[in-house]
Amino acid sequence: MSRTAAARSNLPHVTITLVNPGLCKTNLQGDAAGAMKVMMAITQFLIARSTEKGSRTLVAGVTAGPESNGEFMSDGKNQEVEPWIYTEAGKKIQTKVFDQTMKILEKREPGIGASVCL
Amino acid sequence: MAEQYDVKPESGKAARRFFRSQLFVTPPYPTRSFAGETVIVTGANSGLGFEAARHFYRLGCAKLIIAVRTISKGNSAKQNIVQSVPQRTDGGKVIQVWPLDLTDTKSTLAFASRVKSELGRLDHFVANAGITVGDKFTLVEGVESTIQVNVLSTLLLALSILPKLRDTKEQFPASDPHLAIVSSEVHRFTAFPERNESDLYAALNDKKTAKMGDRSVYLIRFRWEF
Repeated sequence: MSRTAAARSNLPHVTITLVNPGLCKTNLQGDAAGAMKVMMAITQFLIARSTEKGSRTLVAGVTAGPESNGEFMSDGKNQEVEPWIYTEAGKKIQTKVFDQTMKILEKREPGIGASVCL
Repeated sequence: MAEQYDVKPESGKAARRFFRSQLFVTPPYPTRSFAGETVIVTGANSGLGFEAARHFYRLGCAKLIIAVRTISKGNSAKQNIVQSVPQRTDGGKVIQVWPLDLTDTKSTLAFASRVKSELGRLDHFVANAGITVGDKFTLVEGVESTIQVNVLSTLLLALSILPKLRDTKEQFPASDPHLAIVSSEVHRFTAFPERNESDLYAALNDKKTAKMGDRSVYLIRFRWEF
């Protein structure tokens, strides 16, 4: 792991961000039905951001500085993810998710891990 | 039995933060120029991707790829964007509509290939395309559809084009490449019920036990050291 970490640190820098746009007026909730649909429509009407305002967070995600690398960003600023993710259990879950996901991705595109130095 | 993890989402705090943000915070209007840069936005025929694409075009990007499932919708989006930015007259050449279907691994990999072979550079990739399905459980390629689209294909594509972003930085030192994956604070409201299973994906793809409510936007967060 440390070998690959060192190799990664010599790579040309790309900033990777996770963007939270907030609740916006979009089609994402479009597949809800019945009472759920009505509730979502009301919630959207009352507090959802316009699509354009929500999209500003996407633009912020690609103009963020290196301090945002690997960070979750809300309202265009770095924000901590849910606290349990930082606990020992959370870290173990991350590793588990990472390993099992990469196994599937390697089947779909053999060598993908190596191509990004993972 | 696999190791069991005790996880407590702080839903009350998350809910208060959510409402405060929705009611009182407006992200600032983007003004930074994208002159000379190539940008890709997936799921850009409507919603957030569409509006983000409009910003990139308005801010002078050299090339803008709108990646969509349905080309005709992408073309309508392109037309709408071009008309809304009258100070530019090069929309026809600058904006390209490329097909991308994240339910399909072949389509996902073909898109990545095209990025690598057709684009001279890639400065920013916005992985915005995603789906919600309510309670509807369907399998695509043996995987539950939201996991296929929002997690597996999104990550496959992101990792596939990451080398192109790095190459761009190497060839064009002034470039500041970014990979932005659209996620959600909704992650704060789920304890990730499948976390204790030894085989996560078997659990996620099992219709009998699937808790679709936790999947409304199931973008599992990876903290990689890049």
